[in-house]
Amino acid sequence: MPNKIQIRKFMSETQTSEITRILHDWNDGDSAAKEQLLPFVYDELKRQARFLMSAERSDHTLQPTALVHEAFLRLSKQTGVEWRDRNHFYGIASRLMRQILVDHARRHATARRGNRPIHFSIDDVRIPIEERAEAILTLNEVLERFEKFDEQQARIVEMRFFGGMNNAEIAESLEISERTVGREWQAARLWLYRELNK
Amino acid sequence: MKAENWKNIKDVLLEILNLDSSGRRVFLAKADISFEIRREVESLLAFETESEDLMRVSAVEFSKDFFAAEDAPRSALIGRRVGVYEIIGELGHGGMGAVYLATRTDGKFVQRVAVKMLKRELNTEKIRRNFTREKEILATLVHPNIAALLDAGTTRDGVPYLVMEHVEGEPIDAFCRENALSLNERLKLFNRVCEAVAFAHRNLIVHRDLKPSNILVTKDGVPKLLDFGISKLLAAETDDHTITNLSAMTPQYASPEQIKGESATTATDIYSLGVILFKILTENYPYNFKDKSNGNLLKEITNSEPTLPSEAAKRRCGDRLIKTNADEKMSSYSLLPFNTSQLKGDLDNIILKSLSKEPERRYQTIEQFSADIWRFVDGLPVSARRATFSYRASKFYRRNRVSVLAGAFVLISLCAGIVVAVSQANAAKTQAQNAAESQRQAEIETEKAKSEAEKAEKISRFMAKVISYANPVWYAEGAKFNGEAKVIDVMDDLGEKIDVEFAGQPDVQSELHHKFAEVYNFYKTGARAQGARKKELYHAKLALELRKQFYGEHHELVAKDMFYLVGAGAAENGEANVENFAETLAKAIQMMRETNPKNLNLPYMLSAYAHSLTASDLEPHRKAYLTLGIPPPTDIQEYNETHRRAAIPPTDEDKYQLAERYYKEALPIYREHYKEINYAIFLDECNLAFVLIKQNKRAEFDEHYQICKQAENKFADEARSNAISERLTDIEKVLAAKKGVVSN
Repeated sequence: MPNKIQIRKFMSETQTSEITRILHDWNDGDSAAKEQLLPFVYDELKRQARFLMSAERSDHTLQPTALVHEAFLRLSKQTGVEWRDRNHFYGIASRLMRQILVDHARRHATARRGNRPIHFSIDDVRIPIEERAEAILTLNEVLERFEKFDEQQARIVEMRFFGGMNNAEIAESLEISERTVGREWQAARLWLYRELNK
Repeated sequence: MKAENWKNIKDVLLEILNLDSSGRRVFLAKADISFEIRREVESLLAFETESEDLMRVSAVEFSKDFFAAEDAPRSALIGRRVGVYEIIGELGHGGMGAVYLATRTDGKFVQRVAVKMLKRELNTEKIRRNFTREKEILATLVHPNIAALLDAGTTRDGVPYLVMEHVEGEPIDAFCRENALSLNERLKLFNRVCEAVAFAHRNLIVHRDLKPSNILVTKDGVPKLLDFGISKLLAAETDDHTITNLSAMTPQYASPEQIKGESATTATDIYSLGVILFKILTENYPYNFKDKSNGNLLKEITNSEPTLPSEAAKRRCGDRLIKTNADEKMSSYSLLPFNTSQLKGDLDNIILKSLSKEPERRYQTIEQFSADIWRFVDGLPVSARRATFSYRASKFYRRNRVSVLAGAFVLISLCAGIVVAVSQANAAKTQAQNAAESQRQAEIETEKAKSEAEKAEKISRFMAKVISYANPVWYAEGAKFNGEAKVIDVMDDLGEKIDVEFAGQPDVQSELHHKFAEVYNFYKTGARAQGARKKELYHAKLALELRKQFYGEHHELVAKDMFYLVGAGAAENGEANVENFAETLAKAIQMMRETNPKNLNLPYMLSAYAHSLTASDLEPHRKAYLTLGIPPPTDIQEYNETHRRAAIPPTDEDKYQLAERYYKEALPIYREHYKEINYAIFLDECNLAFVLIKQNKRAEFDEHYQICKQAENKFADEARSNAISERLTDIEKVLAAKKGVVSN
């Protein structure tokens, strides 16, 4: 856990107060405020990702929740505002993690993907970086298609894979039952797998 | 696909995903769905097994080096010269430094090498020493299947580096998969890896971090081991080997002892090789690693039994639940291009042996491990099989789980009482001593506590042996019976060891002998009855002797064992020696009355005695009942009467009268012990009713007879219910006879 993170002044005073204002609006029920928050969370997540995924730590198993949670803690601390709901934050963070990883994948995706099936499993971690980057981009495309015909289900996949959230957290964030989350994933998985490995 | 279509497809999927294959068929047949939707559903279901692994790691984990690669300081070094090498790229980096791809620049020959360089900021004295050690290790490891050390040196700014053979190849598991190697090809490849590791072991070097990514196979199929000494370097970096370091350790291939933070030995490498063999033969891991948290890994690796390789291999290309066109595509894309049933038996045994939790139960050397694999490849019987009955054992467990466990349970629960029994008896003994020597009390207490603890521990160990009989793989005891020992076999075997194991501790010895006698008592019918009777007698005799040794001649435990011994003796000798039986039993009863009149054995002894009285003539009991005396006299005249009669030939009435006394003495003791209605009480009531009617004591008889009749059909146990009805029949016969007399 990155408890040794030095608290750098990563946001200017004005930025901090901007975020604080947005959070207050959000807490007051202004759902549009959520969208305004995204760039700040994106920056923070990226900072965390860079730190946690740097060369020194590449031997370690990375838990995405640790990363997202660290971002959450830092933003909370900076603004001093009570967040509406941690799981809502995780939900937002999942979307942003997807964006961040896709952005980074673009830089590495120079090779065509090999013809091996992609599972995004333990073993796949060893596939060359270029192929993995390509796999992330493929997944992104597949998900973009998927969210057109079932947005909630696509969100579940996103939270699970990019946000590292468990079923209970996803359920709370989407305000549906945990059982539904499990079933939706079961069904989504079949379609995703087929499309990914077409 | 249209959005509405997906909604329809999903609705069907949600309905049937949790059904079994027949449920699905029924649903699909009944449901009113279009051909298009049905085809789509079937096509998706074909991927059910295959997609199970989807997104088992998080995106973050999957992509983490997207960031690392960007941040790596490789640009700074690329193009730089190190010795005679020029760095042209980066191969990878770890906590200690990075490995670069380089070529020779002195024009002698074109050669690509790997240059391993310490991170500049880590260039401390201690780490340099470790680096030097790695160099020394590698210098000794010249082997065609180990990536060779070519050169070493220090850069101009003082950073040490190693130049290694650059291996262009694929991790062994990927190589097997992508080249669709047959089973034998995989085994032969694996054996070449074994040779290299064995070579290192002969040089007293343990790899400690064997995993597919450290075993690359070149285009020509030559395996090369990398990273010898790396793990040592890593370990030197931190003093803490424990679980917090798991993530740096490639947990899937780590041994239980590594997980626990214990030191690695050659057995550790054997374990990791076992996991690798498992992986390349099954495309699976021996444990469920789906939950990647450290806690789960620790638990799985240290506690769970590994899956049978033959089972794990099946799992991957599992049976399709619905047959579709896609099936053909799937089966041609089988991950394992050989029949996985070949793993059953020998290979299961070999792999499981290498994966034993305890290092000492794995193969002792890699050569042994490898030799077994060769034998399998050559179609020879695997010689280690006899010693590694693991497969048979595991089958045996599954087939006979209930009986093995039940047997072990009987024995353990039997032995469990011994610790308590012994310490209670000793407490009583010590108390008596304390009264006399109160000043030494503290001392004695301490001593006692110490020896009690030792005893308890010893008994526990003895008990633990029971388990070893069910395991033919690890224990000679188990092998002796092929893992199929019956409770009585275990008893026979352990029984002989009591006096050796507990030499000098007659209290424990006697209690164990006593318990063994008790168990043999259960076996007095059936095929082994003869042996069981002898054993019962043997143990009962020893129990009694040892009790006397330890507790003295006059003690309730001595009385108890006298009772068991005469019981065993009577069974052995039949009714031949009633006199001796009666006399010994009488002595025991008397001793018990004097030492502990509340002992639960007393009523049983009394009942046994009374029963023997009514079942035979009084004559052989003459001496006995004099010894025994009459229970506290209620009627002095009766008392005198009995004694007077002792001198003259006794009558039948006498014996019923005596028996009545003993049954009546027994009853209140039973009642005190057994709060609930109990068989012993009912039987005693029936016996009492019988002797009462024999004496024609009608009024008193009725009360007990009523109770006895309640017991009819009350006990499910056949022997018990028979005993009760036998008594009732006896009583009814007497009643009928008396009726006849009356009506006549």
